[in-house]
Amino acid sequence: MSRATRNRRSFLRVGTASLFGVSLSEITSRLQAAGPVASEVSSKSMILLWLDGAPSTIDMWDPKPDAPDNIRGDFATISTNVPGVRISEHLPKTAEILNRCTLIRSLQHNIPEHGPGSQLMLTGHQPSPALDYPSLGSLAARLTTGTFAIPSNIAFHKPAADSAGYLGSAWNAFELENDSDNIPIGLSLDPSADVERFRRRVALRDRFDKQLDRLGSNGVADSLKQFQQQAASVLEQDTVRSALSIERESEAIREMYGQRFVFGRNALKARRLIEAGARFVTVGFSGWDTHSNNFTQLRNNLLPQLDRVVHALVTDLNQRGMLESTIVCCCGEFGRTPNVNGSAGRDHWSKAFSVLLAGGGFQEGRVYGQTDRLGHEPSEDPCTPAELSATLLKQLGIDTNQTITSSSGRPIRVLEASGIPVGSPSNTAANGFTQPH
Amino acid sequence: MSFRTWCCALLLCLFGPVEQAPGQVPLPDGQTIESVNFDRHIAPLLSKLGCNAGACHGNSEGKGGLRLSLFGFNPLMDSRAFVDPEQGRIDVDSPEESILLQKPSAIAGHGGGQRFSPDSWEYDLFRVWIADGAKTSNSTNRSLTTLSIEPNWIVLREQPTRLQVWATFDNGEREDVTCFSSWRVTDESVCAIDEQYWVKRKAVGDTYLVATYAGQPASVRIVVPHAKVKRPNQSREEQSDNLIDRFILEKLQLLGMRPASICDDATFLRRLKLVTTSSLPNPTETQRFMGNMNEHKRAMEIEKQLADPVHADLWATRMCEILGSRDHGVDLQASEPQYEEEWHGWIRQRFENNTPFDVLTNDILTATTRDGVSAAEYVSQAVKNAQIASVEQLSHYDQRPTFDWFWKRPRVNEELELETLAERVSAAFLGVRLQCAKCHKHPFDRWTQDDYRSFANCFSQVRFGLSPELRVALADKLQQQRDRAQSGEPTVRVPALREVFVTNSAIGLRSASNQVTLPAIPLGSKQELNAGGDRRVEFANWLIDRENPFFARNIVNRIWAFYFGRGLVDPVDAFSAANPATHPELLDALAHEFILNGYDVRKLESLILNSDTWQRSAQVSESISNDDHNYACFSLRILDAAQISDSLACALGIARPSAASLPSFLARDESLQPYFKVYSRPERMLSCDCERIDGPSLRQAMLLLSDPSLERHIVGAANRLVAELPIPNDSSEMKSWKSKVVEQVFLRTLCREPSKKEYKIAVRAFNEQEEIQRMTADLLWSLINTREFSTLH
Repeated sequence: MSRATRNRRSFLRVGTASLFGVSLSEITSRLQAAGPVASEVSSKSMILLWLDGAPSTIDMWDPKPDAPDNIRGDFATISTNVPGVRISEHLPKTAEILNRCTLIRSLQHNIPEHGPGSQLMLTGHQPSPALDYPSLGSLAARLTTGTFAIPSNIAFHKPAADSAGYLGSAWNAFELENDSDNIPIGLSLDPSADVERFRRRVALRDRFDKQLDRLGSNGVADSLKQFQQQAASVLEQDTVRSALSIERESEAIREMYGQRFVFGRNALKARRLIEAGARFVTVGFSGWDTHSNNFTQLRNNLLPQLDRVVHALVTDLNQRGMLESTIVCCCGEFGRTPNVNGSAGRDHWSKAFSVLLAGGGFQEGRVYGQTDRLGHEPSEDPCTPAELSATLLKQLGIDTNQTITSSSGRPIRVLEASGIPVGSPSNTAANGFTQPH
Repeated sequence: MSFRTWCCALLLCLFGPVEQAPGQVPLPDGQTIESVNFDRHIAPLLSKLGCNAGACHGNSEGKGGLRLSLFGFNPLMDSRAFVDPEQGRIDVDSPEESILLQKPSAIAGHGGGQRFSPDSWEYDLFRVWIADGAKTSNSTNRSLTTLSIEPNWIVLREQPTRLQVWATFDNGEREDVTCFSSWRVTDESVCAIDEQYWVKRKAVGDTYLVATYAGQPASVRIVVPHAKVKRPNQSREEQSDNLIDRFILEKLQLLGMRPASICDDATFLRRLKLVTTSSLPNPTETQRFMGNMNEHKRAMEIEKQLADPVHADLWATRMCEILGSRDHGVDLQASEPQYEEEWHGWIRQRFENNTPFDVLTNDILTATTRDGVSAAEYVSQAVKNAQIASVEQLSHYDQRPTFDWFWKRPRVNEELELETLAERVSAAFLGVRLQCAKCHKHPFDRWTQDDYRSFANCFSQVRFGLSPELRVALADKLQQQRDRAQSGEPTVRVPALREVFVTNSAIGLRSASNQVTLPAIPLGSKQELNAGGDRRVEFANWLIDRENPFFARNIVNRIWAFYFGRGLVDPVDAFSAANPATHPELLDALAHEFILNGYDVRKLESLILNSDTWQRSAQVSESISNDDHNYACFSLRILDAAQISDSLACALGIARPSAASLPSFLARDESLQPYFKVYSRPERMLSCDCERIDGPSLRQAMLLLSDPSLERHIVGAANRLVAELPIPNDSSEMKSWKSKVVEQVFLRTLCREPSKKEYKIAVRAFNEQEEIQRMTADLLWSLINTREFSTLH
């Protein structure tokens, strides 16, 4: 699939008359109000492990061992530490910590195409020509208070469809290259730099930077000013570089994440960024569009890395006492066909797939929903991307019923859907839910 | 309105709903429907109510067992779905019991919620249709030709205005379809439309109201002026002979918006150089220009910059973006420098010569690799070329008459990616985004799947590979070499060759509905292209015809967008009745002018750059705040990757080739790479105009603050500057020396002289610092990190 079909902005933006602008003054006030220290009001964060290309979840989280050969696929299943729940044999480490996860096996939507499908999963909204919806990361950055000295919403190997939409580009993810081991130019001051001098220069710059203010209020100029202030603060406190410096972690921790792999290193960096105050970190991991050689690719390359990372994140966050406040969500744009095709691959399938959640106060060891015998469709508790998004946003402490006003004056409700009952136990009781047997 | 319906309306107003005759349905606009018809009434209502959207019953799987055609492209299928006796959706004997009524009115549970209430006219309409026997579609009767809104444009002052939508059919019938149309106001902060189709003002501004009926959109422009109309005498600045200014000012006056004044000379020169040659004026240029008393100096400078070779480079890059130069199918490494240079070079050559745009377009769209040379001759030439160093060979590509690179996008078996190609031609040369119609009827434009496929078939003859002629010629050549080898003569290597050629055995795409191969028809045309010969020639003739509604408007709009940051139609590749231009008359006039001038791009650019509209200052006043498309002031924007790189090079005297002249997407120069990554540099892959980054970002700001190689250049520039202006021995001259340095630093970075206040700030900073070079570097650094430096304003 070429990138041509994968850019969310390839969809018409007609009707979203410049949405840049008005909301920017809000950024100013919000960011300034947040000040240099993290607020304690809403303390939850999220790491999104984005399996770009759409993972074959039938070979991972929802195996069908009793289905015919052409559906079952090559893999055997193993038991997990959640009684009665089996997953792929190539996810042995995750099987040991599944009791800390929530597995949703009944995701379903109607767009089996990468571009718009990603958009749907990342925003919780059907892509619309009239309005560009923001991704969850941008919403989290916009609707929770963060630390001024670190970007709120960060993405490694950003999914093409990830955008701030109607919130305006100021809320776009802070993009980091997939392989940012050599810290890219422009993320930190030279180690030999004189920080005192840097401050003096910034102060001088601020005195000169009045010319554009004289031109009156302008969206681009206002948000640029905000970025300039934040940039100086991030650099001065060197937050991004320190968070990316995984060599400061012990060998054991690095090995646990899989330091030979970019994905493992990025996941560890994500944890460090969250620790430093970021609210939402997306870690993109591509290669999941397995139209051919699905099983070889999964077995030799994709699953071993993913298994390590999921296990490491859950274990590590837990050891640091961060698991309760950090959601880990692992998903892609959709799943893949139950039927194996002629090239030992699986094609696009959005009618039934799984999403793995952990931490963040979700019910532990819970399996929500199930698919039919052959994995074609959910047979119990189907869950839409909108419901998943609502669930995640609520767990992040965001009121999905609130409205945001776009610069054209249009009030837009964050999300119409309500969440599924996998939240904290008290919510479950209220919803009258019981653990499946 | 007939007397009778008028009476009905009056009665309704006076006494509320009255018992109407069975079979009649009164509509909210006062009309009454005498007999309900599926095609006229039910089908458009399904679209209006959203029943046939992709998320509802329009889904390919349907919803809740009911499947409708997506956006209602197939009324017959939809009506059959309703009356299918096995589904039991309707009950003719007791219509109220029909599921078709109970679900959408939420009497029975409906996944899509309540679409209308049981006491609504919509309910009545469905009820009467069922009671009348639920007759299915008979859509062959007539088809919709035009949809229009009356009045066709509105100035909303205090009083609300009422709208009507009229549909005209091919059998001559004309019908008021107001109640059956769906409505959308593009900017809802300006006005609102109520259920009785009255439009009411909300805030000053202008917007469009788009009505859609039976898949066809129509729009009406709505201008909401300041309530108290102030008509001050026009100042001199608000009068102009420039065609552009006339239209822009006319609308601004209507809105009661006061345009900003014309920008000063220094601002003008910087702005002009950045947009035309991606560079900054040096201090001498700025001062000379400011001191020049010639009243035509701006016009002269514009001509000079447009003729600069870098300007042609800029155009080459733009065209590479528009044409998607890096998307080359499966087996070509489009990122190979040679390919990128050939792309860029051929186009640059055309813009350097100011080739008329219709000629350029024709040379792209009808390109073949051999350009009429015989296959044997072509093979001989290729054999000869293979023996010469490849560097020399590529320098000849720009001499080729036609541009075959556009067509080298192989898929399998020498065929091209027909769909992508069609979308690309459509977006690049017509300004129409066709993508949606690939899979279903375009949701807010008139294009159907068959329109899309017929359009694609215009290009179905094109192949990239071995043509039969080339195959024979190659075989001959190889045989010749074998013969030579046998007789002991020296031989040469025969290179592998492929070419863009046209085949007559092409099979085109089939219709979505009946699998019949569709004829090749350009978009919106009725004329089939003949199968004989190269259809692209016919296509190009159709395209560059003066009467073609798309071609000139598209390129004129794109040129407008290069200079103003947004198109008159925006996005630039989204021409559609549902996305009208902000200044339709201006767009028409510019297109007309462009054609009259023989598709002369430079002349049009000159017209734009010479307008007051383009030369306005970026000053935002109270009356124009929050307006981004009436051009009352210059709209400020972030520099793109090449502009910021070249600005830094100009300001600091960095010796490197202009970034704007680079043919490649990526920079080989390491110091440029971070800038190419975080500032806007379209990838030249997608067929739509959506690769640009519009807004600023945190990483841009961080990069300028912390780039170590930039720091080295700043230090170097500071040292050179101080060396050029030797420090006086006499301390009494120190003051004037400092003022000189400060002035130089401002001129180099911000391309203007410092204000008194800025001068004071700078001098004070100097007085606090001992080391002159160090302070000069700090000053350079500070100014480079102002917003003024990294924006076009």
